[in-house]
Amino acid sequence: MANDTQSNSNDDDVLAQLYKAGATDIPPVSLDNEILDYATSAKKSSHVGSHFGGGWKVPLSMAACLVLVFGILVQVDQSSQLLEVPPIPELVIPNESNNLKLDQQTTVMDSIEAEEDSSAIDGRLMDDSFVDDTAAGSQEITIQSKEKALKKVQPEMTRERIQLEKQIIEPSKAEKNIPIETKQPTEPNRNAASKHREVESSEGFANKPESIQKQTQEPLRAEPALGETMQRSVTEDLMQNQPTPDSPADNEVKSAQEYAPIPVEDWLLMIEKLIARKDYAEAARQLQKFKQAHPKINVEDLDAKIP
Amino acid sequence: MERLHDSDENLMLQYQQGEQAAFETLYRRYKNVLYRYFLKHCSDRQQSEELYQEVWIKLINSTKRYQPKAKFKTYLFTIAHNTLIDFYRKAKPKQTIEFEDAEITEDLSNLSTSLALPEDEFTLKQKSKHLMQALQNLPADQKEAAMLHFEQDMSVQEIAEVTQVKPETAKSRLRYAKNKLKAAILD
Repeated sequence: MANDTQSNSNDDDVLAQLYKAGATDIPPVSLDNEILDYATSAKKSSHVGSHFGGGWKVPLSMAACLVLVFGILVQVDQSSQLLEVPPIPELVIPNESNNLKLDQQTTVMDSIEAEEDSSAIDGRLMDDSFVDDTAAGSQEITIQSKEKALKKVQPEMTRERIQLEKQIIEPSKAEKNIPIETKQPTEPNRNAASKHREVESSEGFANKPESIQKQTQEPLRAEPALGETMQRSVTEDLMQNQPTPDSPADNEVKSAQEYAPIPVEDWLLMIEKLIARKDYAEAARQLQKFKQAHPKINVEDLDAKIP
Repeated sequence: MERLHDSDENLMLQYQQGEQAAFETLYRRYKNVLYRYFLKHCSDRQQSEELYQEVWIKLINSTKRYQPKAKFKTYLFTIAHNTLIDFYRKAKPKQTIEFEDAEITEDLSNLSTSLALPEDEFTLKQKSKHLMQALQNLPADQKEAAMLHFEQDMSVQEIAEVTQVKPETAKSRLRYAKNKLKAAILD
């Protein structure tokens, strides 16, 4: 057994030596160079790649991100400027300088609201003898609500114009028997307070003594607006003792609502009426304004009528 | 000079780190045996050169993934074996079958005579020539086992690793290859 193993190893050695003696083939030099060149170039490229990956990849990607983010921010800024809403006007904070104006405005608004409420109550309370007053009140409400809207736009300038329109419209309506618009109790925009007052008045107000009626009415009619006092007095004076008009006067009411410029004829008619009612002070004032507005028109005859 | 004493694995790791000279040393060590490996398996020299070049390119490209778990020569010849198998599968399916299913049909039990190296160089060359012819006629799997054994002094285990077969199979292939070569020389 040992001899077999020894002879086998001996045979292996002989075969190996014979094999090595016959194995003389070698690769061509060109092939060697090609492979070595490839190994060199591959290593350089992989080395460059690893250098790029380790040393430059992160900073380069960060720089690219920064550029992108900056670009996006600039874009967003530009678009936001395009979509920018115009600035909201600053709210007026009450202080010493503007306290008076605010108080006046508040008083005017409050008086208008109070006037609306009281007129509504009046409309419900009045019997036939007070229909004229009710009509005047509701008409006044319409004008005043317009006035209220207009005040927001032209607070100072239009006040006198509205006053004049009232003075013109009311007598003319009275003359033409214009029907009175009565405010319907089912109007949707009436507030709860006025409804409550309506119910109260309709149920038992008429039966109350006069003193109580006055007490109830007075707070509602109280505190007229600063500029409204004279206006109301003139309007009420004009409306007093005027018969209730029956025919429609939509055109005139509309003209009043639209606040169109006062026609010359109407203005002169109004001045004549004031003279007829012997309200010379107001007539003179209106005449003076008329002269200023229309200096070319001769109004000497009217001027002569005013003492 | 130092590189000559470095192991194959160290040289490969050095090349992995970018040292070109380490690869050149490694190449010189294995270029001839690898070249002959393909030359013995392919009748066409040009084809064997292409395969040889392909193996080195594969080695260079896989340098990053190399880990010295096994011997470098095992690693290198495993690449060579796979390249050869691929080549057979593509070009010569018949020979591939032969490579995979080679059977020992010849009875070599009567080869009890011991071999002896010839004393004169001429006889040695003649014997060597006979051996090479016999090797060329061997089935591919036996040829491969014999070449890996005689060229690289690979053990049965290493041959099994390279050829990706069981050690017993590799041992059997190698034994039959030796007996055939021995018979060829004795004749």
